[in-house]
Amino acid sequence: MRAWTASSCPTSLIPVNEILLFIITTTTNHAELLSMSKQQIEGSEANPYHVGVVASRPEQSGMSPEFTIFDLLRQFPGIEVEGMSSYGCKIDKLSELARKHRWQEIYTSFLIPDIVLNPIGIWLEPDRTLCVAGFPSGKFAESVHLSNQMTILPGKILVCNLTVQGLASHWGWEIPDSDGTGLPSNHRIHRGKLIWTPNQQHNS
Amino acid sequence: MDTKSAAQQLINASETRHFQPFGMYDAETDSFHFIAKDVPKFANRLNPCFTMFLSYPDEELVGFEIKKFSRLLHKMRALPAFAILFSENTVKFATSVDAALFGFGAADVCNEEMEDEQVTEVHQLLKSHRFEDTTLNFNSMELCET
Repeated sequence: MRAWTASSCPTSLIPVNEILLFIITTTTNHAELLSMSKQQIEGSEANPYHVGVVASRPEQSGMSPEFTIFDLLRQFPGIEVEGMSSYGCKIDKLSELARKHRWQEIYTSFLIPDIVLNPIGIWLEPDRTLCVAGFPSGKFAESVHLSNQMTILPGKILVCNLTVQGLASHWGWEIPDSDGTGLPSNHRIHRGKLIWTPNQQHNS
Repeated sequence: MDTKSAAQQLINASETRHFQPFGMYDAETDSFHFIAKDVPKFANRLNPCFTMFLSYPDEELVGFEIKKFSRLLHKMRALPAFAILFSENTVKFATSVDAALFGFGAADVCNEEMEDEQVTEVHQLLKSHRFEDTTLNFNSMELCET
């Protein structure tokens, strides 16, 4: 894993346009996530950060509005997780972080696409959110020219909770468990049901 | 809900300000966050309800999260030993932190393996940022200056 260092640039100089670009992009993705199909997923290798995302909205595709990210998992047994690499982030959430000047957490949110693209584990939490864990590469941050603003913590795992709509609601770094699985600390106790790992298909 | 233009205004306005330590309740997740520094950090979960945030790379305590916070307060108020610490609308924030540290809000009542060092660290964090005497309004879930 590459190690990044925090920029010497003061956080007060955060590039505003890049943040807004992110907000706009993810808001769009939120509406679009629900209309993914297997065919579109398989044919979308050209743009790895919007894999499986199509322009039509659920009401236009004829798909039930209740169609959720869990349906995606059930629809594609053995799915390559690249198929669910789209995600969103609530504007309210980012606004609240900005209001409190929690820039590091905003920067870290730019790493979420990396782990959703290439997770090491996915859990179904009791509150019906998905918990996705992984080691971010920083590629998405590079694409929005923010890679010098954040720190990838070597040896730590980035964990993110996604709502049923595919919205990132909570994220942060955790230490690996001592059980040797490479999954987040105490995942057997503090996480819900493990439904996917790269090497094993779990029942959802 | 904030609009994108509102978010832009907010971010523009925020550029000239600096981070201030804060405690904040998140109703959506029923958790209370106390963050003292805006630095890269990782979680170290002490029990199902209490997570410490340690800075990277020097592993200094820079904050914590208390999960199931409203449930914790409810349980505290229901017990005479804690109830006497509650006023009409407020309780000392540090009291709720202590209860969470020892796993009172979790299903298992007490975490006997809690290290004194960790408790001391949390107290020191609150003290160093002048939150040791802060009270919590459990109606608004906001911290109040004393």
